[in-house]
Amino acid sequence: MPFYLPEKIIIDPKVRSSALTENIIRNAPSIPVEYRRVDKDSLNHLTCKDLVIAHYQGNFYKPCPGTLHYLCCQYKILNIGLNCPLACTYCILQSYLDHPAMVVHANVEEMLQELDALFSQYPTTIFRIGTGEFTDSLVLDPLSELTKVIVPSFANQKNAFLELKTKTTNVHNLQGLEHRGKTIVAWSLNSPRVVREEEPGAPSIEERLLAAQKCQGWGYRLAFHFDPVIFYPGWEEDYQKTIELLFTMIKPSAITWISLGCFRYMPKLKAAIQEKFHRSRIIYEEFIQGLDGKMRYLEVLRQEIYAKMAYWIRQKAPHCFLYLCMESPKVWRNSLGCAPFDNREFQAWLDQRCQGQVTR
Amino acid sequence: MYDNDNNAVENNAVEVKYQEHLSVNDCHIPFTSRLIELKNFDFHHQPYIIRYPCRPPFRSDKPAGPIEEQTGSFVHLEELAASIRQYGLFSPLIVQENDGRVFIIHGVRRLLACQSLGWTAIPCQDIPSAMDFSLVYQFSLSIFLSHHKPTIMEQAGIIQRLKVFLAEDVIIQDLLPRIGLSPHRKVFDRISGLAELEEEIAYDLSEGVADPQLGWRLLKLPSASRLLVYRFLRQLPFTLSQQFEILEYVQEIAYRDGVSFEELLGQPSLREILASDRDLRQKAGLVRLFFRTGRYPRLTALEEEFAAGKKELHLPERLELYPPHNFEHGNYKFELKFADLAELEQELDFLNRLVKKKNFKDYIQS
Repeated sequence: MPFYLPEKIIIDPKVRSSALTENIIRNAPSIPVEYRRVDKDSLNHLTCKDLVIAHYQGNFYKPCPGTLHYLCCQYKILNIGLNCPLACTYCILQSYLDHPAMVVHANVEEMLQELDALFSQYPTTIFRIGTGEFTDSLVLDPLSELTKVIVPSFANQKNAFLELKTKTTNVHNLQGLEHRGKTIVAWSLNSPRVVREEEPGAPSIEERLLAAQKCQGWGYRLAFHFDPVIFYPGWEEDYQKTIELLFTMIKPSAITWISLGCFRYMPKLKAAIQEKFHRSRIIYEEFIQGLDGKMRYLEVLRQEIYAKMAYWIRQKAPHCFLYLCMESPKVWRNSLGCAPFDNREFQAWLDQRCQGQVTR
Repeated sequence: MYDNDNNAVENNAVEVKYQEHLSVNDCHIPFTSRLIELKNFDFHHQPYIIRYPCRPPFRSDKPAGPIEEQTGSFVHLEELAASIRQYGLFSPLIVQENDGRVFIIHGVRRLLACQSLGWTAIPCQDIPSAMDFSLVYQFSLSIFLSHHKPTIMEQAGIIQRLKVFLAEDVIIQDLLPRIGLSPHRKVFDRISGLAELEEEIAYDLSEGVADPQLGWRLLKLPSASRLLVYRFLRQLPFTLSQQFEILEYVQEIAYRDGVSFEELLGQPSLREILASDRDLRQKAGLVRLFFRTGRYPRLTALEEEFAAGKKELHLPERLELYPPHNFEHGNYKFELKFADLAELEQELDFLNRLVKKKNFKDYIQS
């Protein structure tokens, strides 16, 4: 199990006495600590072995940066920190963030206040919020113990759901928390070959599913994301193995949704992958520039991939709720047989699914 | 005045005011004036020569020659020799003798001219052998820069040489502006990287036959394949952007399929194109298509399928149909040209009939 331990902890004096800071120091007693403010320039001189405990000054809550040309589920992001030490070759953060340091935002009280205010301001809106956009949701949890605060906080909300997206097995802190079904624990899954070659810092599929099994046992709702699905000769057999394993270890009834998304990337990620991961071959498949500027597999290939994945999943779990991430209605129809009319409908499907009302 | 009778020269130390360079600021370099026999010059190893190319234009069948053959960049040598014959040699060479070997600091052309006149010894200002290599190199550089604006390969060579004895930050801050470059790390890395290119590519870069941007891209290839790929690109009249395009295709196909550049560039169908009777431009077009098809097999198949279907529609010449960009969901496009209203009406009629045809509906829906 990869348990991230930094080589140095740098603490912004403003959050010196925050509970999260104290947790990290307590859980990493042998790691040297520096107290200083880290500005944008000095972040560039750090590495992923440096953990910066920062005071975040912006809005913690943000809409997912979807695009106009593809259907977006209108996911909302809770910005708990930046970067990830798992070093997956395809990680979008390489081109999205301009520094490699691990950053965790320690002013959690302010974050929760911001959320409380938002949820009460819009009591009829369903908020589907995830922490796994700019970092792995659980990679720092053994140090920060953030879930111990945030999961009970969501449990008390009437109109909000939290999705923790991870590739790790760091679920220990989730045990015994009062979640009331408001927290969905989600794993990113892939074929064994992709895990081995492109996610070398992450646990195996079996390890991830064992962690998911534990959460299932603790009553959590689960989700799985086959994203990115990576095409290569022999992909079918490999992905079927993962799907087979998923349903051997997890009950379909515990799964709130499974998403599918083919590998796509902003053009500048290509150079980053070439520079950092010489052995990775994933960028040498056939890509075209999509309508959102991202490099994507050809539409016909994506349709074929999704259709096959959906077929394999539905063979095991006919009522499993499947959705596509950032795809066109045409691709939805040609692969899943249906499509939301627009983003609002897509959002409504997932919101209702959170509330346990939708089966498709 | 010196002549080919090798008259004795009185030894005297002359003081030279050394200018410009920070690390040798106000340094006075002593030297001895004396005649040195040509046979003592090391014609194979001349570490202080900055000028590039410093040998005849590269020929693949011939290794880099000794300095006596290095006439390629020394144009008007005959004129210099004629001048020396008529008026004598006014300025002695600046050299450093070390363990019996003489290295030139300044005056290669004069050396070659005097050699061609049959001189056996030449007047030189000899810098003490005890003087540090780095100081002498910087002295040589200072003289060079007072006469020349360095070419890109000369810049690369200078940086490479100075990296041996100066800290990179010092080179970036102090030297890059002196050789006409911005004092930035990126510039330092890019320019000095060119010094690693093979002689043939470096020569073409210095002569302006190849573009430095191509050089930088070639540097990303394994060194064993670089020359092969460069020669392949050079044999056809590709534009620079086409060179980049083919280089990228070749690289990515090789990585994707796990084949060597040699295998890729030696494919029979590619050799057939190159050996055909077509003119160079046609061959260049076919080579591009060959690699594009290899890199994007599905996309090119879709394009071919679309083109074949379009042919079946028998569109009038002035009507053009385009698929959605990259066959991603989106818009088809008709381009319609007309000279007058009558022609426009005709074309619109055609379109109205076309949209009702089954083969058009099938074509668009597929």
